[in-house]
Amino acid sequence: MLHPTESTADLLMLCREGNKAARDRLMRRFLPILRRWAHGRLPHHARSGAGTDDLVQLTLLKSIQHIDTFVPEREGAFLAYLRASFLNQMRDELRRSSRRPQGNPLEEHLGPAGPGSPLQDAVGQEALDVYEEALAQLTPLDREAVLMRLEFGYQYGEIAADLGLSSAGAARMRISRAVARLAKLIDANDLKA
Amino acid sequence: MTSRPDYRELAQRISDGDAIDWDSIEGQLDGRRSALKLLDSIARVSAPRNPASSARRWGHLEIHEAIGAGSYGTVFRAFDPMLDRDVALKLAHGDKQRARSWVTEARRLSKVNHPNVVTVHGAEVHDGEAGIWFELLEGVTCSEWVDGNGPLQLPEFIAVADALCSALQSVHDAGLIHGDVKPDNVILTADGRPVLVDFGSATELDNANLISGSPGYLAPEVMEGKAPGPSSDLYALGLTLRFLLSGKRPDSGGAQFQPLPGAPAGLVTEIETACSPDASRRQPSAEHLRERLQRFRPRQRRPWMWVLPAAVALAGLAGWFLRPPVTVEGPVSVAVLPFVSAGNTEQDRFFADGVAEEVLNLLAGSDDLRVVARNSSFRFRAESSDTRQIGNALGAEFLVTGKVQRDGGELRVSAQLTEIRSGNRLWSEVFEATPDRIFEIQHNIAASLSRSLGVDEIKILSDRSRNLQAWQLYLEGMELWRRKGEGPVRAAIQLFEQSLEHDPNFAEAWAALGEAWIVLPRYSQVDLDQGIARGAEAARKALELDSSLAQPYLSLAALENRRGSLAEGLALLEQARARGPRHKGVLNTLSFDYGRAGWIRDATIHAELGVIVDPMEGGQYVTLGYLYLVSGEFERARETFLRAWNDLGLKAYFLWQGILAIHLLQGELDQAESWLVHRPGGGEHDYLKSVIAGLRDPAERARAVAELLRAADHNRLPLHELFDYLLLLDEPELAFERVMTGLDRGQYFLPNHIYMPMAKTLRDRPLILELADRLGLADLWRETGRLPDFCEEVRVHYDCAVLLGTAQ
Repeated sequence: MLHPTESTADLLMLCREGNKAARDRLMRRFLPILRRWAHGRLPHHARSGAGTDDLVQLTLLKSIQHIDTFVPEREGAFLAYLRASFLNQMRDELRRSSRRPQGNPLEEHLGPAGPGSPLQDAVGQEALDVYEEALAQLTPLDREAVLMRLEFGYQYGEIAADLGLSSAGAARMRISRAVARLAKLIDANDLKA
Repeated sequence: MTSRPDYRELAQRISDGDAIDWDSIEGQLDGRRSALKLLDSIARVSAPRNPASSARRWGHLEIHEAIGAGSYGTVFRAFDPMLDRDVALKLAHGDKQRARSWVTEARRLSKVNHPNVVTVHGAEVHDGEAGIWFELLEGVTCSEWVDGNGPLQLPEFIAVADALCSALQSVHDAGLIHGDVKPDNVILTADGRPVLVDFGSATELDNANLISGSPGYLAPEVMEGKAPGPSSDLYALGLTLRFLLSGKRPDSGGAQFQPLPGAPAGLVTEIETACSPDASRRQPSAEHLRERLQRFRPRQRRPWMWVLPAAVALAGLAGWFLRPPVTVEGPVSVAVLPFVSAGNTEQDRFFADGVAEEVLNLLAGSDDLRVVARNSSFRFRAESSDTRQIGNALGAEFLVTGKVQRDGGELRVSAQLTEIRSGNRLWSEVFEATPDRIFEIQHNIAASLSRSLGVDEIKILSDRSRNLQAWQLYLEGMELWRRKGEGPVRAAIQLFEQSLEHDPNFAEAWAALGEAWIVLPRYSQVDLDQGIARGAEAARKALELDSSLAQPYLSLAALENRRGSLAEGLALLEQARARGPRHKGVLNTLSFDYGRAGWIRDATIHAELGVIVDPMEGGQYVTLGYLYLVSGEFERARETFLRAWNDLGLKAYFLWQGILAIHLLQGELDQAESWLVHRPGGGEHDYLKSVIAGLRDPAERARAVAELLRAADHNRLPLHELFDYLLLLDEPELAFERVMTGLDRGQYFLPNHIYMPMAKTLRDRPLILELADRLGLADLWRETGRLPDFCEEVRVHYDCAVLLGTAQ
C-alpha cells in the first residue's frame, strides 16, 4: 500500500497541481482499500460490486478534487479523510433517497427500506454512533493509527512507516494503547448517554 | 471459571487480530470490556482480511485452503493483504536448518524473471516455519492434462518443450538447479502458459550436494551420489518430454519410448539424447536442446485447445498484439510481396502485382493465417530489401515472393515461401502455361503455400476463374484507384466499367466500381449523394453475384450513414465483418464507427486488429491512438501516435493534435508549448498559447477563452477543437452552448470528441445526452439498444437508460 518512492502526500501534492497521472495513481492506490472497507458499511442490498464501486469512486474523486483546502501529510490522515467523506456521502444518499423514493438505481440501492449494513447488523447503529464520538476524541495520530489497523487492516510495519514510528513494535504498542483508551472513552460516553 | 483478561491484554489481542472467545467471558463483561468487544466486532467487519479474521496467519499472509502437498511441504491458497492479491503459499516440512536453507534458495529464485518460471514473491521464516509465496496459477499440471487428454500433438508439444527448455535455461543462468523437473511440476495455465513450478528441491549450483527430486526422474549419476547439476535437470526434462509425447511415465514400462505415430525420428532422437543415462552424451544445455527441437516446429500453429475458445479468439488476437506472449500462439502470419515483373511495361507490372494480390486474397480466406494487408506488404519490393527487415516491419513470420514473365503466348510464374527468422526457403515452384490459365496458377500457388504452411487447404469461396481481359482491366483500374485524386478515380471507374463489359458477372469489379463512386465526391465536384447512390447500386450488383464479399457492405454502410441512419449503417458493417473479419477496410470502418458510437472497448479491439493487419497504414494508428486517449491510456496513446509520426513519417494534423492533447491533459505544459511548432502546415496558434497560459495560471483563463472564441468566430478553429479547449479551461457550459449554436449554424463537429477525457465534466451531467441527441447518437443508442461505454461511469450522476428511454 505504501509505495517505496512515491508517498501519498507526494501524490496529493501533484494532484493539487493538476497532475492527472498522479490522480490516476492515487485512485488506483486507494480504490481497492476503500472498496474493501466500504463493503461493511453499505446496506446489504447495495453491496453488489456496482453499488459499492459507484459510491467509493465518487468519494475518491470528490475527495481528490477538494484537496485544494486540505493536504494530508500522512496516508493515515488521508484515509481518515476519505472515510469521513464516504460516510457523509452515504448519509447524503440515504437522505436523498428517503425524500425521493423513485430515483436513480444507486439511490434505490441505498433506499431506507431493507436491512442495514453488516456493521449495523453486527453492533447496531447506536453503538456505532458512540464509537464515532469516542474516535473523534482521540488525538489525530492515535485516531489514524487505530483506523489504519482496525478498519483498514494495515500492517504494523506500514503504519509505523506512515506515522514516523521507529518500528512495527512501536506501532503495535501505540495502537494497543489507543484501542484501550478508545474503549475507555466509549464506556464513558455510553455512561453519559 | 475462566480468568478475566485485563483491558490492556484484550486491547492488544484486538490490535493483533487474534481470535477472542467472547462467549467464555460473556458473564464478566463490564462497560470497558463491552466497549472492547464492540471494537473487535468493528474490526472484523471492516477489515475482514486483517488478522482479526479467523483464518490462520503466517507472517502477513492469511492462509486459506490447502491446494497441494508434497514431500517438501504443503501449498495453500493465501491472501496477501499488502498487495491485495491471492497467492500460493508453500510451507515447508522438516527441520529448521533445512527450512532456512530452502528459503535462502527461494530468495535466489525470486530473481529469476521468466514467463515460464513461477514468479516467487517472497520467502521468509516465521516462528521457525519456512515458507515461500508465489503467484497463484490457475490451471492443470501436464500430468493431469496428458492423463485426461492423451499425449500432446506435435505443435503443442513443440511449444511446451520450447517454453520449458527456455525456462530451465533461465534457472540455470541464475546459478540454480531445479532438482525436481517432472510433469507434475509443470502447470498449464488457463491462459496457455506452461509454467515450471515447485522449486522445493532447488539448490545453488555450487552447493548442490543433497539427493533430492522424484525417483523416476532422477538422473543415474545423482542416484550414484554425484551432485545434481544442469545436466541432471536436463535428464529429468527429457523424461518429462517423453511423457508429453508418449503418455508413458518412466516407471510405467521400462525405458522403451513409444512416441505418437508421426513424431519425426529426429525429434525422438533429440529427446532420447536428453535422457541418456550417460551425462556426457546429453545436449550441453537446455538452450541447446531448445534450438535442436526448433527444427521440428511445424508450420501450422493453432491456438491452444485449453487456451483460447473460438469465441474469444478475436479479443485474444488483439491482446497478442499488445503483449506478445511467449507461448500463446496466434495464426501464422504471412506477407505476400508484389511479384517481380520481368517485363518493363506498366501493364506487365499491374499484371504481376495482380497475381500476387490474388494469391494474397486466397490466403486471406484461411482462418489459420494472418495475412498482412496489401496496403502494407506492397510497400516493399523483394529485390530491394532484406527479407528480415521486411518481416520485422510487417510483423510477419513468412514471406511469399515471386516473379512473373509474359512472353507472347507463354506465361511463367515462379513463387517462393521463406521463413523470415531462419532465412530458409521452405517452398519454391515454377509454373508455365498460357496466360489464360493464370487463375489456375494462382490457385495452385495458394494451395501449395497453404500446404507448406501446414494449414488446411484454402477454400475457394467463389469461382474466381474469369475473363482474362476483364481481369487485366480491373487490375489497371485498381492501380489507378489507389492513387486517389479525381483524375485517377475517374479513370478507374472507366476501366471497371470496361472490365464489366467483358465480364458482366465479375463481382469484384462491381464492388470496386461501387467503392470508386463513393470516394469520387471527395476529390471532385460530383455531388456526394449522387456518388453514394451510384456506389450503392454497384455494390448491390456485386452482392447479387457474390454474397461472400465484404467490400460492398462497406459501400452500402456509407450510404446509410449519409442518410443519417447510423444504426442501419452499423448493421451493414456487421455483415461486412462476418464476411471479412480481417479485411482492413472493415476493421478501419468498424473501429471508427464504434468509436463514434462511444463503444470504445469494441472500437479499440478492432483498431488494434487493424494495426496488426495493416501495420504500415498510418491512419490506423491515428484511430487507435485516439481510442487509447479516450480511454485515458495516455502512455499507450502517445506511443501509438509517435509510432505513426516517427516510424511511418506520417506528419498528419490529427496526429499532431492527439499528441498535443496528451501533453495538455497530462499537465505537460512546457512540452505542449514546444510541440506547437511541429504543427503540420504551420499556421497560427496564438489561441493555443493562450490556452497553455490559462492552464498555467487561472488568472489567464478569461483571456484564453476570449481568444478561443475569437478564433472560432473567424473560422480559424474547428468546432470540436473549440469544445476540447473550452473544457480544458473548465468551461463546460460555454463549450456545450457553443457547440449547440455551431451545429445549428451547420458547422461540422466530430462526434467522437464528446468522449474525450476533457469532456468528463460534461459527461457527468445529463446535458451531454442533449448534445448526443443533436448529433444523432441518441437515436443510434435507442435503435441498437446499446448505450455508450461512458454510461457505466456516470451511473452515480444519472441513468442514461432512463433519460434516453431505453430502460426496460
